Amino acid sequence: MWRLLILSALSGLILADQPQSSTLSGQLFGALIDPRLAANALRIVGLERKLTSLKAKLHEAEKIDPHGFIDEIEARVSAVEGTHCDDGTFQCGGNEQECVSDLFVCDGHKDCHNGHDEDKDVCDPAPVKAGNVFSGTSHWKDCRIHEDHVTHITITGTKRRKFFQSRIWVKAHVESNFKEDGDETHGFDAKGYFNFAQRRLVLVPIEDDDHHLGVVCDFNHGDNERADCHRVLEVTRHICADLFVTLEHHEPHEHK
Amino acid sequence: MKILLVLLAVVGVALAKECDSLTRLKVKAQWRRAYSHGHDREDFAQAIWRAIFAQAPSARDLFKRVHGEDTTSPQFEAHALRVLAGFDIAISTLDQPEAFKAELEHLQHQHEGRKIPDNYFEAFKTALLHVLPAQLKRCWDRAAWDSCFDLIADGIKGHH
Repeated sequence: MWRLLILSALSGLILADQPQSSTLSGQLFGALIDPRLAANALRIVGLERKLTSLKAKLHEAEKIDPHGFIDEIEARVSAVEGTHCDDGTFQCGGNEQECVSDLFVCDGHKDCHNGHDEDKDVCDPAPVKAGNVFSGTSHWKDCRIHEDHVTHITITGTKRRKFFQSRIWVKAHVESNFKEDGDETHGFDAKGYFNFAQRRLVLVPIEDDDHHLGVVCDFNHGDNERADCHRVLEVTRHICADLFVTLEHHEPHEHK
Repeated sequence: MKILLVLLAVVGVALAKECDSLTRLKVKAQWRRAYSHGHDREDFAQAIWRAIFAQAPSARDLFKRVHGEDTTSPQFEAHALRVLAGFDIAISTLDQPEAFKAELEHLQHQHEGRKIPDNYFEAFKTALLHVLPAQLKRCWDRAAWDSCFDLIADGIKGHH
């Protein structure tokens, strides 16, 4: 619609610029089109250009989200502060500081006095939706000798028992891209769980004959898209590699 | 399809574990980690009973005397801890056949005449098999628990 308007205005403008046009229609247009209208058309062209640049700015604005930024700082500071709660317990937060067992978080029964253990944002299962792919670079500092390489964690299936809701049981595929013995990708299937209280995803290899290492991810960046992960030895939980992952987006981000 | 069925059968056989002496030691050690102490133990018991009643709401009727309608009441908390204490004795004696037998007989006597349907025992098992891995967080053997729990439950029920 815009383009049509501008096009017709432009054509009018061009025709109006040629008063000596020999054709009859040209003379007709020249006489009919007001110079002020032509100036308006120019202004419209300018406006459209501004709109395009505004669109680009909007895309830029999306990247720096003040809300998300504050959430992240908050998450990081509270990680440094600590929760004042013992391991395996959940901090109810708010004005009343209270600790409840993580077995009760998101089980459908309010255990915190302020009900925070059943809050919607606490119990959001979004981090471990089946189909989510998290990617990042693994940096090994122990246990294995590898150059830094890319690792993808794909959530392949989830189960949440109606009678025991405080965990989501997760199946996943973990794939790493590095060269060894000619093979470039090394993958394994894993199973584990997501713990709402700690926002922690734990994955352990199924049928571990290849001696793959487990993955522990903490969604501690204040959103559901980024996590600090570690490759660990299952028994001792000794950390062998660091891995920061981000959720891969399903659709390409650029606007067409 | 047939191959798949055969494969499933093979996997099933491979997974079906017996509660042999090594398995008993494993269960015993894992129970020690899960059973823990203090507040954690109360919460562990609470989580198990919530999961049981969520599966079999009618089972609450059996626990009227100990306030089964509210699992957070002190009376029920006490009961839940008593149950786990009995379970603890059974697990702890898994590797001492005589003591184990005596404890199971004692528990069977306690449950006699209460008309507990088998599916309540199943609910208990399912609850335990979900709360345990959540409590243990890692290193747990479902198949081992599966077989040794059945041994204890059968002992309490007095039949298979």
